[in-house]
Amino acid sequence: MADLLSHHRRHDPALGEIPVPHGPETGGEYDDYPMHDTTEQERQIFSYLTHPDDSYTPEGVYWADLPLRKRVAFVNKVQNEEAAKEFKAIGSMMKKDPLSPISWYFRNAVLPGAGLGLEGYVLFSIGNLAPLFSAAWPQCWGKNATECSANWVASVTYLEVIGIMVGQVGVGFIGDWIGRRWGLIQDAAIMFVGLLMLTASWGTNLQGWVICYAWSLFFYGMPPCFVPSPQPPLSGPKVPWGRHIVRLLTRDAPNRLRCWRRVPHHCHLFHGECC
Amino acid sequence: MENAVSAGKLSTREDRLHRGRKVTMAFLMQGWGQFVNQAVLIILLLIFHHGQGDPPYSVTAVQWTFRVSFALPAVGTLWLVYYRTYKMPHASRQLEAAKRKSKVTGYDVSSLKMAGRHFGGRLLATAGTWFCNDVFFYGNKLFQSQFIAVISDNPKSVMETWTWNMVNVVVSLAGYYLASLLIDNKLYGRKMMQQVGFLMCFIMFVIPAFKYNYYSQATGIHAFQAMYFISSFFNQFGPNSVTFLVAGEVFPTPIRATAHGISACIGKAGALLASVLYNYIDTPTKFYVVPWFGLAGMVLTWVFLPDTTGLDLKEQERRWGYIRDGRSEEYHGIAIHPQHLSLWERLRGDGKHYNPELDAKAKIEDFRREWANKEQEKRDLELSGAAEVLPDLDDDFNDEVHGYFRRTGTDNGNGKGVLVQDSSLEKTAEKSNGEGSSTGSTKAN
Repeated sequence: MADLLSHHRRHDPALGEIPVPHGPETGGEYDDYPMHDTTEQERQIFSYLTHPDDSYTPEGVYWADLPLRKRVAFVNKVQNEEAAKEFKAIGSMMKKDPLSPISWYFRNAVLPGAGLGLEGYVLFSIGNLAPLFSAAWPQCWGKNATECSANWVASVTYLEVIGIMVGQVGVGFIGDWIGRRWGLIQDAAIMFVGLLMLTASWGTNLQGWVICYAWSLFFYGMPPCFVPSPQPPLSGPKVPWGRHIVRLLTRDAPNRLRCWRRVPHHCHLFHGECC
Repeated sequence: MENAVSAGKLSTREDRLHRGRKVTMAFLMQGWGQFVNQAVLIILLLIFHHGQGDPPYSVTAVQWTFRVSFALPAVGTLWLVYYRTYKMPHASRQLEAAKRKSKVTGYDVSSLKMAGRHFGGRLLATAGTWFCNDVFFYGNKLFQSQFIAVISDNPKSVMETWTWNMVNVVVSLAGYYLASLLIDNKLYGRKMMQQVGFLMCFIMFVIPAFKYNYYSQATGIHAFQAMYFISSFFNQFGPNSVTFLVAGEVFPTPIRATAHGISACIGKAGALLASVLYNYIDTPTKFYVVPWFGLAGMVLTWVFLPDTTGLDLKEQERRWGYIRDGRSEEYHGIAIHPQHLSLWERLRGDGKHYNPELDAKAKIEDFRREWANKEQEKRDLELSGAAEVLPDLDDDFNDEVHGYFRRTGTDNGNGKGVLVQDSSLEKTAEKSNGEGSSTGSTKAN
């Protein structure tokens, strides 16, 4: 903090003054701010807002403006300090509860990433299952299939992607229309039904089963990540920019193969404990 | 709550230093999803196939294996339905409140046009690189069946494929974690990571493309295998992690969702291209096709992607505010620092107005406006009898800043000295009653 206050001269309490309720006055009761601010003073006052020490040197130079050698030194210093701080924080967490880092990781990485995890699971299981299917049903999957059409077998690998693209356009609108909450529930419900369809996929012959399996994947791919309306700044409209750090990546962006499956904890990603 | 997001310095510091890590830490669950899937499949096959993995497989065992492997995530999804229905009832309330307050309804054409003019190159970068990445993301599997056929003594066994895939998933998990660790490092960071990742993918695919016969024989197969793992490592420790993050980060909020959506959609097109194409061309041809996407991705990154590592995204919002007001040349802050611009934007001269001294002054004026608005808001709230001032309204500015604005403000005219004649008077009085002396603060809080 900048020390810009000018202090009053201390003096003895005035004789005969009744010190109620604050006690005798000795000159230290209040201080004055300077009447005119110099640029230097302004810098001091605002530096905690405009020149945070993780990005600026004490002289107020931005890290990227430093010459290479100094930049490396500065960046390393900031990072080492930050790392030390984090290790200390972990240490003190563990002192209180040795397992707390695990639950922290769960809350901050596993839960927010649960949707992506699910996505990775299902998406890659298609590729993983293919060799198993072609070993069990060589007449259907694989190179020399007789019972199933090669195009349908191929479609298994891309119908989910098409489902995602269709879903982004179609189902997204429904989500926007029924509102965010129901949109989120709708998505999870569609995914659930899609997985049930995959689990139970059946056909009177192998070709029928492949078609059923492919369309189940298509259906599973449909729930799009929510396309939110543009996030407005959270405070007064006229403020040109705020301290509102804006929601960075809206986690809900329509992005699926690797996407954030509209997990309710989405904000954790960028904002710590905001939700 | 929202407050932690918006509230000033501490959370922005956290954001500046660890934004990328926070995202990638959750993003890498994608890798764990693959890991779990592969583990579950292996275990299920062992269970249903009498404890061993070699063919021939009975149809019943296969049926059970794949059906149970889909039933398990169904349970998790059912939990998600439950959670969203009963545990998260107010997902939209906050957003709606904020919307009402700022009367922002949606896009308008002019701001989209402006966004196109100023950030069109960035969209090209995020969408294009995502497209290229997805080709690799799916292309990576190409190697697998080829080298297994050569090195394995039992190439027909599904278990063999799965075990090697497991190894690959573990390698890529290492890539995910390393990306998470270094993505916020200002000396490496997002742009470098993506370029190196693309470059390595390119190299690892282009070598076998032109010597396919050598690498698919017993003599070259170990090099082939190594290239497979390296490419999958650098796919994660590179474009796959970075595209996801930067597609949102390089745009100001009002167009962020749209831009991220467009990028993701074009990325999907890459995935589609890859998965359709791979069904219809043979493996050596695939190796001819795929590497060029790595090269293209690298060039796109180099020319059009700005590096947002270590950039305070508030600055980007601030720049956008200036752009929207039609005075982009008056913005002098770090969002147009050459470090945070793409090569294309630097050549175009977007960075020529960067000027830290002017920016420091401009920032104070911006703060002043913000402060004045907030004071007004507080006053209105107090007048309207709302007992507690929203917590959102008063952190961030410390006493000295309040003092500075009071002293130098224009609306109070003679406003110097300690006390100011406005509604915060009461609080001021309360405060100075509360504490006696010394150099402590004498300002309203």
